[in-house]
Amino acid sequence: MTFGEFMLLVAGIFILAWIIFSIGHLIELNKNPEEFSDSHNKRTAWALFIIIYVGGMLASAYSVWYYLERKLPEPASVQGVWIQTINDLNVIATGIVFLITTTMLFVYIIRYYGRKERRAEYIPGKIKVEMAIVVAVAIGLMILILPSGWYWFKIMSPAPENAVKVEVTGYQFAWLFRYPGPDGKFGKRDWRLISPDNPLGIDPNDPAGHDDIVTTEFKVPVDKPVALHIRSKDVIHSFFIPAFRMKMDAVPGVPTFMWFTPKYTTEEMRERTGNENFIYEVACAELCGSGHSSMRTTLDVVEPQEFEQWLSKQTAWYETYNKNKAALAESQQ
Amino acid sequence: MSEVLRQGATQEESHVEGHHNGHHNGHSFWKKWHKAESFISKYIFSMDHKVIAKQFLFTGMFWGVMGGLLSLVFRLQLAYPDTPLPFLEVILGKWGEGGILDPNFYNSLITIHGTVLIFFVLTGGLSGTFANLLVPLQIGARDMASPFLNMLSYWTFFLASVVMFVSIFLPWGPAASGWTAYPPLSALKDLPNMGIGMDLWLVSIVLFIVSALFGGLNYVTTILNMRTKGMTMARLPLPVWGMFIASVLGLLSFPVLLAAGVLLLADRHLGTSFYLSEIFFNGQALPNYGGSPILYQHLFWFLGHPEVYIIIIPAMGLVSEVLAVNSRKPIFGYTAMVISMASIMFLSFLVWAHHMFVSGMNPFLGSVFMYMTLAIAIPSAVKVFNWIFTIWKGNLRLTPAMVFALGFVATFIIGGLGGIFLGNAVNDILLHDTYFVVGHFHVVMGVSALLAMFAAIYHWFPKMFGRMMNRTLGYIHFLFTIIPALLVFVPMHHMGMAGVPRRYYSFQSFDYLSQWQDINVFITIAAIIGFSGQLIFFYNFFYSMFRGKKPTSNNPWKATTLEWTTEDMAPGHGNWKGPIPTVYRWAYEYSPPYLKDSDYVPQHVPPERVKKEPEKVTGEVA
Repeated sequence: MTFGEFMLLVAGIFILAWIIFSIGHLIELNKNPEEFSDSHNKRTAWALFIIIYVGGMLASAYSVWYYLERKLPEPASVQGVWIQTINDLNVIATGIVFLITTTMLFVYIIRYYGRKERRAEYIPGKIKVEMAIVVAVAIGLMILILPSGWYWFKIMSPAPENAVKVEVTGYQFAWLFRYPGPDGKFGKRDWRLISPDNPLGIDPNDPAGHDDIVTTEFKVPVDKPVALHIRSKDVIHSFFIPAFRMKMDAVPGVPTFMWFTPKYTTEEMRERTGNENFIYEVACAELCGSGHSSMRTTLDVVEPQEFEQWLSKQTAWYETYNKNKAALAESQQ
Repeated sequence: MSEVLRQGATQEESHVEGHHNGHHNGHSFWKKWHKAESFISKYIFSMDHKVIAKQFLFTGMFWGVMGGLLSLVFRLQLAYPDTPLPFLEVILGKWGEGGILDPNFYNSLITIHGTVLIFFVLTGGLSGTFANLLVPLQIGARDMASPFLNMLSYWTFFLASVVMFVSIFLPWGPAASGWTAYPPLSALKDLPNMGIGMDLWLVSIVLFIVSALFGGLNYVTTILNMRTKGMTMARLPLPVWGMFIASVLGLLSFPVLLAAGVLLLADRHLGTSFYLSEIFFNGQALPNYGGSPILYQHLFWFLGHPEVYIIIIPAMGLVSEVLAVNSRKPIFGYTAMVISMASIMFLSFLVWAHHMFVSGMNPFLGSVFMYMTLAIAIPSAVKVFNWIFTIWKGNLRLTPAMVFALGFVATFIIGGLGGIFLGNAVNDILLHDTYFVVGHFHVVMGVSALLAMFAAIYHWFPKMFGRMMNRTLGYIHFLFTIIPALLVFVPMHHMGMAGVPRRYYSFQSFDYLSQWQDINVFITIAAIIGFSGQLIFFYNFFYSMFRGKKPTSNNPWKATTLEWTTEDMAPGHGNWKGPIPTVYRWAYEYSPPYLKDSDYVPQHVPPERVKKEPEKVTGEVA
């Protein structure tokens, strides 16, 4: 819809609303606002039932159908499958409760609308009913929550020893990655050492950091656990991989962790989704300033041998750092 | 004790009248001066709880319009991110240069929209209005325990409003940190829109907290000490219970936000490091070391989560009353209603960290908070079923207030069930900071609290202004509120499940978000219709205030509570001209089996009268 059509539609709705409004205003002029006749109550009750309940249910069904057309592709990590399962379980459980309670509410409205010859029943409440509600809800929630408690600790447990280690650092408004190099250890970091040559502030005197690889590319092997060390340079960001259903905040001064096991390579996902341009996108999910909505990076999941090849081709951060330093010293002389 | 209080109040009143009479004999200049003075003391610096209630209501309505308009501006941006809309430059100046909304100003808009609606409309406007109006009237008191503190509460609120209002129009831009104001974003004052605007935002919040504490102290003291003879705690109408519990909750949790705000101000201006550590910003390393942004989140959500209950518990109380009166049936499970409100209050102190499941907090804490959060669903479910059982076998008089109250129950069910998803730590890994959260809290504490507020306005309008509101316009207003509201917020749940992050200026940078662009247009249209629907309400409100029909009796809804026993429909200062009525029973004696012609027994009708002439117990004031 173009903006012009949009304005026309809004104007049309306004005019319609104005007509309804005027009629409503006139209808009421000759009526006593304290009198609620049987027919008035009946009309109002049925209007509520049809417009809000029936209309609402139809609209909800349409909304669900619309969502199913546009939902995320199937979860592409092992943990994502668990999270999606819990989500779907919640959809079913709350869906049933929603249908029961809402139907009760609206059926009672059309069943018990006010009539002169009727009288309400004097029921101040029953302790047994209250206890039944408490017990039923408590049991339902227990059933719903037990698998969650189990999965929560599986997802949040420390990453396995053999996991591929990657460090990601968020800053306004991009992400930077670091791989530990052949020694498998990250060099120490200090934010006071950050400079254009050393964007992460790696300590040049720490030998563990000499083989670290700093890159804007994020590649991980498929079917292997990946341990992500998450940090931030300035404000809070959140590293969100929708296809994996996972996110974790990046907090300055507080290192955070997340680990996942990708199930499909990017190529496999292209086949599975039927989308030739599919790519794992990473979004920022914590308001971080004016560029929040464009703080995008991508993730490439590849076969393990391809990952090893790619890694071996990268230059260590320390080499570039020394080269730059030497060049600087030369230019100063 | 209440007998003594009652006599005291009557004496004081006659004293005030005597004082007035003395003044009238003076010079004509002094007469005029006195007139002017009485206008100021009657309508501006008033200590009458009913006038203060109206002041809160009007301020709340002003901020409601303001917050709604701000949301329309950012909704237009979301629907048409590329299209230059020249009128934006006209209304926003440099923030809308060339008709394109500035991204920093977009963040400012969502910040101010959230802040003013949560604090100024749904806390100040809702509790401030109806606690002030109903607490003294329903418990049978001539005014609050401290009318002066009450006046101070409103004027501090007003000052907070003024500071916030000024901050919006400053050239340095209003705060752009989101209503949660997480540091370091809110602590780095060199960021665009985080300068003086952020300071004023914090000052405004601090002032608002002071106002809420003044108000809360007063409500609690009044309810505990100034109930009329026979009005035991177990006979209190549920709105009063709601205000009482919400006030206690506010008194215990608001000071923590005050502390968080003061520490944030210190980090901004005094060089402290409460929330800051290891930050490299603007090309240099900041010296701060050792603080933690997570600390702020703990402090913030220790208020922030109870805050949603501070909003919704009074709303629950008001809705319970409206539902019972119009079902002509006692509220189902009065004691269970009170206990569930109290347990919600208690549990609400133990759930705050469910906003922080993915903040890097210890996972063990996450699991504890997950169990606590789902435990709070139990009292909430008790309330929902009690409302449904209240209308079950009732004789529903579908007044506009009743229709809004039923709308509250319907939206509270949707919103409450959405909470089951977010309180589940595993599910929250996906849904945290997505549109699901936006949809959820708008339905559960935005829409449903607003519907409760409208229900209360339609129900107690005669008590405030002595006239009735137009009924048909009330129904039209209801449809133009609930339908657009659901059309706006239900699709957001689906967007969240599809991983759309919230607080995004546009959806154009991501492949997986672009497919939601047409839904954004749809939501914007619904939002514009919903906002315009409120114009019907404003017309109805102001028209009825001056030209609405006068009710034919003093108790137009045939309710049992004490506020309908005053001699004047809209009572003057002191509420009752005669002595304060005595209470003989609970507030929900509707359709008792021993009555034939009438279907309710007001709280103040003596049992002997009910026995002697059961057909004449409606308690009409002669």
